[in-house]
Amino acid sequence: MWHRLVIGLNRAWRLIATALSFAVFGIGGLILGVVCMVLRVIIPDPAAYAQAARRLVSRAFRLFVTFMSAVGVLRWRIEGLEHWRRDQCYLVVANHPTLIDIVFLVGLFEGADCVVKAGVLRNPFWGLLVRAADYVSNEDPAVLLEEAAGRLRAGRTVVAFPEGTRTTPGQPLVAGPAVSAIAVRAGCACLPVVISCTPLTLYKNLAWHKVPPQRVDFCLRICPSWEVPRAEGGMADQRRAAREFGRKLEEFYLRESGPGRAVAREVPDQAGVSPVL
Amino acid sequence: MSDELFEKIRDVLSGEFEIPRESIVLEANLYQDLGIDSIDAVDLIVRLREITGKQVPPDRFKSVRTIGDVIAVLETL
Repeated sequence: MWHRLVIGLNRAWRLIATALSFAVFGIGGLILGVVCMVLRVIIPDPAAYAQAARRLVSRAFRLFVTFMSAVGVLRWRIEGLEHWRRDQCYLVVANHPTLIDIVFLVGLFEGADCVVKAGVLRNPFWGLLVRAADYVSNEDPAVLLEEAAGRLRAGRTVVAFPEGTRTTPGQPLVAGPAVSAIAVRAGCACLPVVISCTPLTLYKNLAWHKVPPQRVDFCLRICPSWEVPRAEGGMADQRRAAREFGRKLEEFYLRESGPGRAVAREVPDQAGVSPVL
Repeated sequence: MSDELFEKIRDVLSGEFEIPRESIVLEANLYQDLGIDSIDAVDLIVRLREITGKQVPPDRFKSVRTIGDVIAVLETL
């Protein structure tokens, strides 16, 4: 009886904390968007301005993760940091179980570029900031390929979800065509991150207020990177290389985040203590 | 002209996009019948430019559904 009351209160608190988190996220985005308008005046060079905006987003995301941990919505940890060389640029790919995966990834890879849905650019809360950061929009596939591959070639880290949308719970990752096409056009080091969230929350088509029975544990596991050679032999070669890359990604995620693997991993009992975030 | 163009498109789709030749007919829908995705479409526009010397504007390509539509658009350019 007493035990059930505690569980109920805990859940009620997390519902309030989740609502609070959404509010903080939206309002925070809006405030930072306005901050960027001021930055625009201080930093006249467009590239330097966008870089400053991206760093601002990364820092804001770290702060947001800290906030969500503090109010008891989630715990998080990062594994495999040794696979990430700070002096190298990557195409960072990840599976996409929840709405907030990007918050962890962009928080971790400071100043990284990322591919965003066209809708985000027009989002009333985050549009201003996302446009200031000059992220790559997926609206026009030709522009997406050129911009994302161009930034990788210019030695910038780009974060992208190969599925292009959130993973269907229980289903293996299916790589869409865009990330593969970007990888082989650019030639890059691909750094895969396996994201797990237990119990799963904020997945596709789940209403935000359906909070899970207990606090969720996020784990970002950075895995060894691999080199993706640039396909230079014309279109047929590019298409073949892209298909191969897509298959490799799918096999990798099937192996690394398959149902058996997810169940077998134990979740430690303390909050994330990684020095990175 | 349009027969010749059709054959060229057929060559590209079967050779480079690995689509079975017999399924490439004028009425075939690029996306539903031939499995062309958004990235394939970008590549296809590039190849069409190489073959015909005509640049199909991406917004006009958006309204294209069938092989017949592709030819019709190219002929207006």
